[in-house]
Amino acid sequence: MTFDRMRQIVRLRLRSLFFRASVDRELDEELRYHLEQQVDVNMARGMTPEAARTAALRALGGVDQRKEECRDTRGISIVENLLRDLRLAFRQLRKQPGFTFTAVASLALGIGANTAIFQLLNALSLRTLPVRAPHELVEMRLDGDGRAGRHTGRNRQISLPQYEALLKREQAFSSLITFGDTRFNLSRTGEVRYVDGLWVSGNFFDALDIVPAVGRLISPADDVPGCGAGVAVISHALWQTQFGGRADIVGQTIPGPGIAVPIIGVTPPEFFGIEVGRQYSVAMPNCASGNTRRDHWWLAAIGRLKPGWTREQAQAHLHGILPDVQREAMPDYRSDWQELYLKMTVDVVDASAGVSPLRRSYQRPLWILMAVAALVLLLAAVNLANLMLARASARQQEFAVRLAIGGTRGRVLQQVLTESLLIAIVGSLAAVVVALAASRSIPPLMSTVVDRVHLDLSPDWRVFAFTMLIGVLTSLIFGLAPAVRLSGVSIVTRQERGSAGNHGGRARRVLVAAQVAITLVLLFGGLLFLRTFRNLSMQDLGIGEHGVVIANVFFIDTSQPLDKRAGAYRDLDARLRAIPGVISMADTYTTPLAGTMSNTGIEVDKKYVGDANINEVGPGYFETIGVAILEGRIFDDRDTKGAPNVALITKSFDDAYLKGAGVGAHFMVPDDRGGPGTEYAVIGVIADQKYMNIRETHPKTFYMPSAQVPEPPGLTRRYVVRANMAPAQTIAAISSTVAAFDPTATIRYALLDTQVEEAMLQERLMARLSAIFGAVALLLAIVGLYGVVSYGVASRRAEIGVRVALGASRRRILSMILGDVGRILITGVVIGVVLALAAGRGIGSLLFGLEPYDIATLATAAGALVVCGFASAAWPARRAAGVDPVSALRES
Amino acid sequence: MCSLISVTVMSRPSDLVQGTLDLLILKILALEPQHGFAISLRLKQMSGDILQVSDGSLYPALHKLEQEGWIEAEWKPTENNRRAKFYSLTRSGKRQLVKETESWARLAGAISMVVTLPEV
Repeated sequence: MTFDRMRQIVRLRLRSLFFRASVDRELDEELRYHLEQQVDVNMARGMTPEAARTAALRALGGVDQRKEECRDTRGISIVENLLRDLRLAFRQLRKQPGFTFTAVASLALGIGANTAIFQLLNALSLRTLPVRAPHELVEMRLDGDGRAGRHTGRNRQISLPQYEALLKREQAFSSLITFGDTRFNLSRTGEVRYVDGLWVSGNFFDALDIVPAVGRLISPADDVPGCGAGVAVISHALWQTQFGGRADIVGQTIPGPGIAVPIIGVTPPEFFGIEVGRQYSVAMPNCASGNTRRDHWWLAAIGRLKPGWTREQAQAHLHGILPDVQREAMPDYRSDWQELYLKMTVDVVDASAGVSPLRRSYQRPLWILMAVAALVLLLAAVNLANLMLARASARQQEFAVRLAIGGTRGRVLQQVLTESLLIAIVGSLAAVVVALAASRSIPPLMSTVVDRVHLDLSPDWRVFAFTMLIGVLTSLIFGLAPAVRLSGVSIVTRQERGSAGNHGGRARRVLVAAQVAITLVLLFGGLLFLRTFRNLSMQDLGIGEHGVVIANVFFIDTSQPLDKRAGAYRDLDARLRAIPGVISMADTYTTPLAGTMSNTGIEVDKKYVGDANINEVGPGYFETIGVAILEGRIFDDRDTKGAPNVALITKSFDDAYLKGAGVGAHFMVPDDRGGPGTEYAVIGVIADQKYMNIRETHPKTFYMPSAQVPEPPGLTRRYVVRANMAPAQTIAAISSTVAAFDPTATIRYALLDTQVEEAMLQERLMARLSAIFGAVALLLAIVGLYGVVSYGVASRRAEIGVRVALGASRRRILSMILGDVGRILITGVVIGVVLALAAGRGIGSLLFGLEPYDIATLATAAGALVVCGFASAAWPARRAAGVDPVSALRES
Repeated sequence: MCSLISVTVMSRPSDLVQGTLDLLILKILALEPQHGFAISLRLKQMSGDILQVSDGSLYPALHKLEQEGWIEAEWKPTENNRRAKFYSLTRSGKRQLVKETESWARLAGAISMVVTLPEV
């Protein structure tokens, strides 16, 4: 077929479909012209006008018939049939609200759950940054253990001196930008109010081509050494919420403790930064951070590739210049650290979708949930297929009649498929609504009190394409089943119901066995995640976390001489300890599961034995957080500056480094810069605690008295407080005490038990969602099984009637039906066990305290499934046993 | 799809006439673009009134050929200045005419061969 011909055909068909009236009008005119001409001819032959008209009409054979025939040639019947089928399907579905509701609701939930999780994955991993040419962006990552020193932020890769050294040498990028994530406190006094902040290099906004919504953005001229407090750019969201969108925002200041930074502009609404999962509020130039130390790792480096450069070329280029960069920016390390530092390598990775620590921790769980949701949808589709099969059987008579009066098989099938399509469309639309609500409920579950997860979940073309795709796939699954079933219907044999009915029954039993198998996989997975979460929350953390308030006090008064500060802090310590109701309190460097720790190498007998965590604490620390003392004593007033350096060690430290020598043993902490190092005498051994994360095993930690820390204290002091009153009261009392001590201080509070819970966010999310999915799967399987048994019982009524009439007991009928159910269940469970063990391998890394092939869990899942299966079959089976033979036989 | 061979295989008896009519219309339009009434006159004229094609079957046939893309239509004024729908052959219509002419010739030849066989 030539292209021209095809175009004409398509044009004409579309025209007759959408411009029906004008097509008909033209046809009228054409036929009228013919008639008039014919009348003229006839009259010219001498007929009267009336006779001429009649003859012309007769020759044409009736105008209306001709019109109808012409319309038939237009070939729009496929579309018209579809519309007719849709109307019919709509009427049919309205007549059966129960069926329709079940079908649409299960699709809405099934497709909705899939779409919701896909939306999260899309926002987290697939969506590109809303900046110019995001595909040119790459992230530079250093690989290796060479970065000892200070680490801050979630995206820390390089130091500021490294960035400067890179800028001098690299040729691959049209611009190389850096940013560090931080928090800014927007409260001048009292309790802190944190917002996400960014330190950015001066070329940051230029390189990303961000157009300011108001004012101007940070430029290279703003990022120069000695810029002081600098300038600030704020996000559109902060502008709206904090400043009410006021027009004169430029020139306002960012409130913060002790400083007032002028706002120079606002970014557009869609710009959230470069870190996916976060929404920055305030950005300031790198120079204002004061983070210039060579051993401070806090910046992420993002390059925009020059035209013609590939990621691989950039990587090779950076690999070439790295040694010079490293040497120029090398911290003041001792020799073995230098060696490690110089051994680091560089990776250049795609950053078109931004950088995201959140992505690293949630991508895998989300893909697993995606697979789980897909299986649940499959279950729902199979249930629907079963329902549709049952309806198809009930409608065989109708279809036989339609075939008998001349309907083609194709038309009949088309009508059945149309009905499935209609259900799928309505279900998918409802699914979008479900998905929008469901996906928005997830990010809060990933957020902690201070770390709010922000994901742009607005649906884009990918989400719509995905929803449509799975909608169509699903409707194929449940729409084809009845179609295949009905294609066997013939006009002649339709009256013999038995044989064909049994055939359908077998198909449905296979489907239900498959459902049982899938459900077992989902139940097993759900139980594994639930038990993982339980194992994590039940494990002995070595602390009594309940009722402990953590207070981080930030001072801004830098006028006080450093040597006076320690004394002033001791004064505050005493005031806090004197608060009525406080049982114990202590200052500390960090707290369990805060996720921050400092770390050092340990030497025993002049030999490096490994690394350990260090915490610097006041004497009351162990009592306050409830640590068990296994041996020796805790710190007291004897352990001051000038007195011998003492340490408390955890059991794991003792076992790993001191061979269990315990109290009286000695170890060395070498000096970073190759100095003599410090020797510690162990005065006590305590139980293990976790600081970095909840999955740590045997963390090796030692404690030193904060009074013996050689450096003068900083501007932040952290306390743990245990009191015999409600946390809110404790917090109020601390606030007023600190305010009386220094009215310019700000405080951030946390509860130790909340901090512990927040360390299990990912596991809690997985446990919750997979448990919900598992429960839904179980419900679907029960419904499916119930449906099959009820239908089987109904279609075997006559047979059962005969059996009862011939003397079969109720018990025998019951055991016959339940035996059948048992076979379905066993088949499903056996297949399910194989699948579950295979699937378990994929989630092993997410589990804790149990193996992915945990037999007890598998047995529990299988047992629950079998019990629920029999329970769901019990009701229809009892109905079968109660069949009255007389009425059953009469009906047939 | 409207070659005579395939049409005769299908079971609708009127298709033989229909197919023949298609061929005749294509042939007439190959000479020059015409409106429906002129085609109907020309049909009677050319076949010497032997082919009694009713005006009734002409228009559905025209519309079908248009839908198939073999002829196209355009509204133009006639010689007596009335608006009428003029049909003309498309390029694929010309090819179709050649094809249908060939198969007609084959069919006609076959039939005449059969009917002129000497009876024994």
